[in-house]
Amino acid sequence: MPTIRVVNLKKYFGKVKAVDNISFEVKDGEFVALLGPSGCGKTTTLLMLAGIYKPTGGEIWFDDQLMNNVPPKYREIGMVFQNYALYPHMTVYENIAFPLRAKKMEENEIKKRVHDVAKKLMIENLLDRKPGQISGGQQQRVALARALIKQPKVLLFDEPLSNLDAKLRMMMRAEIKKLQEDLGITSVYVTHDQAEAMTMASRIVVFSRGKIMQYGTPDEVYRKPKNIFVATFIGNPAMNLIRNLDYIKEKGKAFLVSENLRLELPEDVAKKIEESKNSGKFILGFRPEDAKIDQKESDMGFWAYVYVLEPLGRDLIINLKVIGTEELIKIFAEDEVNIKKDEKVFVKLQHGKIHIFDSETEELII
Amino acid sequence: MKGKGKVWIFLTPMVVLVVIFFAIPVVLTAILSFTNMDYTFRWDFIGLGNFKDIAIDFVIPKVLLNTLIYTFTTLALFNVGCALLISLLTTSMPDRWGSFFRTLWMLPRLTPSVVYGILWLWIFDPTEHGLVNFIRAQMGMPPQDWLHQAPMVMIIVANGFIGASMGMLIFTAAIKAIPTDYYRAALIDGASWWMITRKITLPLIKWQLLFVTAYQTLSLLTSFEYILIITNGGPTFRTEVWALYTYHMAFSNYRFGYGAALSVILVIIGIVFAWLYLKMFKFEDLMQKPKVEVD
Repeated sequence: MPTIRVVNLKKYFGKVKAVDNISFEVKDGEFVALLGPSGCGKTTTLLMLAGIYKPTGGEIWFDDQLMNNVPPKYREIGMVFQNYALYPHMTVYENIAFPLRAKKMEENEIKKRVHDVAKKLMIENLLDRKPGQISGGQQQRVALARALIKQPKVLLFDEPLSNLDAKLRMMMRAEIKKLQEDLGITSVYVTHDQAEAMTMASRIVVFSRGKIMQYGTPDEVYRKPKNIFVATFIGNPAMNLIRNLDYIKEKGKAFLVSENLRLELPEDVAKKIEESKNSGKFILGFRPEDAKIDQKESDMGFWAYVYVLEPLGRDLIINLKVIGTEELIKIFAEDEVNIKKDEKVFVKLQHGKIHIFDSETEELII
Repeated sequence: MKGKGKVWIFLTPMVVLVVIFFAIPVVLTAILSFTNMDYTFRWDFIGLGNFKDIAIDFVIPKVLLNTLIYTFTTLALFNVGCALLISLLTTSMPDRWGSFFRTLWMLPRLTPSVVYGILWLWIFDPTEHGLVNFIRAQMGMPPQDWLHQAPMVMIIVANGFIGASMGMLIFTAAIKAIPTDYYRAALIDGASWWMITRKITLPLIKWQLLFVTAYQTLSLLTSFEYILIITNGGPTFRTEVWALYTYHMAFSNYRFGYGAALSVILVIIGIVFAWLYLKMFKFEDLMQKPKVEVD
């Protein structure tokens, strides 16, 4: 299976820079997700990998072969589309057999291969139905079968699960992941659903407005987001942000302050801030699970009012209004906390689990 | 007024128009076909007399053959064939060029029919001033008298060039409505242009193909205005088609009863073809089958 290398890839539609100078690599057999909101250029990138769109600039390599001018059919790719793109007038059998018919394969071989792949995807009993007569989940499997039957070296997925209901989506998510691991086909998976990207991919390319915001493992993009975009796009609920903070030093101690908020910083954090090139204004970020509710004040934290409670069964999300800033934050509660609306509580942050971004560039400082 | 009464207030004006200009003439024509009405406008009923006359009219076999040749050649070569080809080709090229070529094919539609007919008379003019003969002259060939050499070709080409645009519009719209992902999937799977056209495009525009074929058959069966302008059915019945013959009988020979009988038969022929098409295209299969959920 090939290693995919994308180098300074660009795609402009008139003046719109859909994909603006991006580079990344997908290793042999790796499962990489392209993640971003709609219109961020992730599908455009996928269509360039497929050969449907011609890049405006840059290079696409499969191993050491430059693919820019190679037509789709010679790229040895299988693709699954968001709406499955199953031909409505053909039976499931004919849909799956289509790529082999295009190769003018012998009828016996086609029959054998269709039945093999249908068996693997548990759709053997549907072969003589039409796509309109089977459910969304089954259509999804047929689309997968059609992509796999050519024994492709690269698999491309364009939001394949977004038309399914939540329950089915979680099931197919695991199944696609298992299938990819078993087959070891280099895969690129486009999605706007961060949960899909986190659970399925070994690495994630986070997109925004045609540019790559960060490329890393799910843990890296979650634990060490490079900028505010990644920090807030990944994670549900999103990372909490307290904006518009100044850095000051008093009696050898370092603080992030706003009008009514004063947050003491550990020495290593203060050092990093001082060493960095910054605009002088800062944003504090922390994940909902990295803060705790306390009744009394301690060293690193701030006071807040309980705004609203969101019980989720297993978890409880506490919405808080930070006193002095009007910022709303969400934190996961310790189990069985006894807390009431409008109560004043201390939000205690954990050492090593806070992120500080520059206000102007929105890039991570620490 | 409430309920269904209100519906009639809105329907009445249109219903009156339909009754006056469609229903009554249809009934009158049917009744007329059983009379031998002529320029004296007398309703003399003669039973099936007109139909018996048609059966032994020596011109009828020629007219019938002309009608079939004219209708199905124009249909196959232009109104469906050429229309489909233009649609397939212009949707396979960049849209700017596609639109340009389609606009070109639309031009005859924008021309008044008399002007359009006279244009073809000039194109096929027997002297060297006619377009075709002018081109032949440039290549050193003598001028031809097209009206006598190939009158059927003249009326087929003239009707085809204007008739192709309707099918073209409908097929193009249908092709453009096919989801792009079908084509992307097919391209990735290595299908050729021909395979994509045969296996994806054509089956997905089957409904439109049926519609245009049926509609244009009926429209060609009943149309005669360009033939009237270009050849007037001549020379000696060589381009006399059924609808034109009906017109000549009724309005040149003033045999209104006979003309009405001819048009009744034409309507029957039309119905037979419409029914045949529905069978041929398996009309029921084109309807969406109920979705079966088995999960």
